[in-house]
Amino acid sequence: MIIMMRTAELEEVRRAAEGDDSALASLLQRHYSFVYKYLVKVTMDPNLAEEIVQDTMVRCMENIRRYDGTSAFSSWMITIGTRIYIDRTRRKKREQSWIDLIRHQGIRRFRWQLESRNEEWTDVMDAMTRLTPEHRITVLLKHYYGYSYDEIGDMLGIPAGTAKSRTAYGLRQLRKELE
Amino acid sequence: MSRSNESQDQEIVRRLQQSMRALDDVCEPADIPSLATLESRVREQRRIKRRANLVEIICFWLVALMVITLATLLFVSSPAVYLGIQVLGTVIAVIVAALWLVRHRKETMHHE
Repeated sequence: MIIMMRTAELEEVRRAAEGDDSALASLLQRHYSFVYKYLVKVTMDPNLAEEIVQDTMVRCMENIRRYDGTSAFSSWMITIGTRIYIDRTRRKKREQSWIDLIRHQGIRRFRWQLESRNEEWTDVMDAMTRLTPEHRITVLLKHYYGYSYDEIGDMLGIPAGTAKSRTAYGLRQLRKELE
Repeated sequence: MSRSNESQDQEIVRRLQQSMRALDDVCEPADIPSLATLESRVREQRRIKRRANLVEIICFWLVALMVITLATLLFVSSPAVYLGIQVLGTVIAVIVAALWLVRHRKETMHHE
């Protein structure tokens, strides 16, 4: 069943790469929600996630021919989304205090949104907001999405050993925060 | 890693998965674009890319022609200067590549 779905998806990607606009639009629409939900967890800010998901869609449109089918299409999309987010955080490092202020506002807004829907803002969510983006991403990819260190390394453009040490450090930080 | 740390980590991973699943259940995008909207965005994007590629190719050929013309003129009028520029260019390219490599390695180590 999974193999059949994967074959159908690859066929759709092939048509999209060859210039079939409706195939590409359908692929993007089907994965929109998945990518958005991933980015909410990565950024811990729904508004920022919304901005990045739109940038991700545009980047996917531009680079559809570069998708080689070695990973799932959803993995390729979240790789692009992750890199856009990391680029943004690195580019804006000089404006760190301003960015921190916006980030804290985003987190507060997110917490308020959740609580207004009678959802609990857990201490794990709180601890996740205090991790650096690099550590939060590797922890999520490993322990929530179940990617291997090799796959995470490929997605982030870092060696698998670095992905492993970042994940271990992130988990250690979470443990400290939750103690 | 001690056994108690390991079991603590397992507990944290379990709580993490629970919390992240809760976020997945609650967070939905405010507006998923319709197929028609996405199709028109894809068409627009392809048009922009085709145009950008065309401009890029035209610029590339213009610059290439200028460089070839200048290099030919220089080679004919003073071969020594031409060869000097070639050697200097190669040396600078090697230095820039080495500096970039060192900086990239430092950045990678810093982000680990």
